[in-house]
Amino acid sequence: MGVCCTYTNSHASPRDDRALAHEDGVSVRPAGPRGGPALDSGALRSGVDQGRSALYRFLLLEFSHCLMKVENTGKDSVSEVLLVFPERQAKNLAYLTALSSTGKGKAKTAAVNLPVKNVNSEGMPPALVAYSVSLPEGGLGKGESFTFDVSVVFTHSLQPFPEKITQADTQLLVFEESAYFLSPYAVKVQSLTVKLPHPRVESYTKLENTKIQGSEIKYGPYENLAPFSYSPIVVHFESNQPFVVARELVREIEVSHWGNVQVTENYDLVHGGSQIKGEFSRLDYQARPHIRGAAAFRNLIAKLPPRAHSVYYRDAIGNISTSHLWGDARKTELEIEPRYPMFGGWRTAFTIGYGLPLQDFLFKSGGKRFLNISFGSPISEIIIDTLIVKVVLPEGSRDISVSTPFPVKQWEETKFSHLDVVGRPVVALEKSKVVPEHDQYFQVYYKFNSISMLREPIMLISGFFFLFVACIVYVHADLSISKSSASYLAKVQWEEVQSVIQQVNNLINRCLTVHDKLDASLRDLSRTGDVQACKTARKQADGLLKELSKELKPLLSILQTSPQAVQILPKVEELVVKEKELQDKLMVKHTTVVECYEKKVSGREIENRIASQQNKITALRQEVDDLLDFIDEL
Amino acid sequence: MVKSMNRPFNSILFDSHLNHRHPLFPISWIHFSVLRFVTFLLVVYTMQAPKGIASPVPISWYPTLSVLMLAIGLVITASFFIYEATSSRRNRSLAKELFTGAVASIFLGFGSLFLLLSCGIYV
Repeated sequence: MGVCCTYTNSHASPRDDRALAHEDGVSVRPAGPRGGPALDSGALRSGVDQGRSALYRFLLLEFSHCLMKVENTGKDSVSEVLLVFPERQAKNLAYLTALSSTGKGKAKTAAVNLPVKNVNSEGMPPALVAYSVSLPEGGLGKGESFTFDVSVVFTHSLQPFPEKITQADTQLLVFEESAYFLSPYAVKVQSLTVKLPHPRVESYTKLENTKIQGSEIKYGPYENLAPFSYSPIVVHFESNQPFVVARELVREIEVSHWGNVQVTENYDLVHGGSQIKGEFSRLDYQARPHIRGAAAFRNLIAKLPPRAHSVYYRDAIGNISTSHLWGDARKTELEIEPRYPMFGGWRTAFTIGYGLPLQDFLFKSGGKRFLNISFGSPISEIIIDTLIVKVVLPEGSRDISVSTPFPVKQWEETKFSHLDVVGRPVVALEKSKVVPEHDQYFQVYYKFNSISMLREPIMLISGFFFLFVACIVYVHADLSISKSSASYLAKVQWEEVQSVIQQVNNLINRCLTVHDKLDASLRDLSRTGDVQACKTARKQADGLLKELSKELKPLLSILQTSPQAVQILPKVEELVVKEKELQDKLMVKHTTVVECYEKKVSGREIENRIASQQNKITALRQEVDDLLDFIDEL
Repeated sequence: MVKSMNRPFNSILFDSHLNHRHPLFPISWIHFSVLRFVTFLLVVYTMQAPKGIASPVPISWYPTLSVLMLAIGLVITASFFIYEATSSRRNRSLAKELFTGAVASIFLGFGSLFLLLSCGIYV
């Protein structure tokens, strides 16, 4: 193959620090002959025979990290490097990336993601699965070397042994790996360190150059290994870390342009470690949880985005009160406790939900809107066998496209939610074997017209409007069955009478306003002395009153002919008569006052003359008002 | 600056290391912040940096708007029913009824929308 490999590792990456700081894990890290974080630019320069590779594992996961230095010893240039895994491991492979970090020492620039793809190379043993890493910039020339990081995560590769333990037992795990880095290339130098969570190791394979130091087991360095060298090692060790496995997680992200992104997560959790056998004693567990229940887990912490609100945690039978929430400007932390401590093999299902502010996750770019939100679960240290992310977009979204940093299965659905007519478009993304490394942002692009936001209010408005229309129809509709019965006819006639009386009332009221106007003109006269204006007002009033009395006549004749109006007729007629009387008196008063003004009679004199008339007018007006009220009440 | 242009837009806004004065470049904090601002503007105008989308009405207004519009809507509804009950069948105006109903339903519709939103039911 003409390529010689050296595997080197680096402590520089913050990701490693995180993994190391986590004592949860079993870590495997090949160590170099110099030991420690010796690798820097100097080491890289010093030669190809200097190198290490690293593998970290935690939970059911194996997190393996190695810095590889490859050198082309052949004649032709090489454009890709093959990474091979045994089939047993490859089927658990969840995450694989290769990062090249160019530059030296502190001048290192941001890592560049190298494309990795699954290949079926000929000449490869059938029990191996190969992935090829493409090298940048036209590959590797003769004698040149290139350094890159490979991170691999495996799920379900640590096996509990024994498979069943009692409540009081600690959990033991078996880890299998090759002491030699499996590679299709000749390896100059390599070594391996297995970092365990506890110094307590049941057993481990002893090869040459094997050292145990606290919780670390070091194999190597081994030099000049032939291609496909393989030397199995087995480490049996203690780990009481929780094995939280979500068999299925459905995340539903619902976008509302009215200011909210609602996330609902349905978990189906299982403790994936050694299964519990015998009986479970709650008393023992409560009294000494660290001894009687060391392998169980009690709580989980979900790191929600900042400004998360309306957080809930419930299951099929209702709210689960054992949760705590606290937060600051950078994050919101939700601590949830299942209803019972989770022992090996035990299952639980629950739902958590929270709302997020829209402006933190929804953006506009070049005429399109996009949602930028994380893919994985907010609960750290969880393995998800099947993750389904459903993004529910508002009704009226179109031209939907998704951009994810890794391949996922994708389909579209429709969801009917509040106030929907045609349903909301849903983009569903499914991925199996999801590990915390997959908790990356993905984007859903779509087009949306802001007018479509009015769909929901229009639904509500039309709902209310139909209610009003129904009322109008009900009031207008004639629901009687028999149209010829006596009572029906009486009712119709009575309604007719009512409407006529209402009209009469209106007319009388209009007459009274004309009276008021006349009074007002008199008051104006006393203030300004403008006789002419007063006379025109009188003329207008006369005309109006004549018209009104004309309109009144036919109404009265209807009432006189209608048998239903017998009772009310005297009152109506009295009303009309009184009004006429009032009208006459008012006219007399008006004429008197105007004449007096023309004769320049003093104000006191005028008052004396009209005093008696005024009294009568007030009394009549009172009577008319009373009659109006009486008729109105009918 | 060119380097930062290649990075995603939010790393420029939140990079805390820009706050530290570089020991080799004795430029003042003000210069630095001006530089940062110019970089930000450049990014905004050249890359069309995505803008966060907020709701058309501030979320904190929802309860007030809901109470106000529901109150107006209920008053108009009341006047609608008073008119229905008091006017007789013959001198009722259909246009007036429909108009009052429409205005009332607009206020009630938006009022109940804001009520739903302020309750946390984001439609």
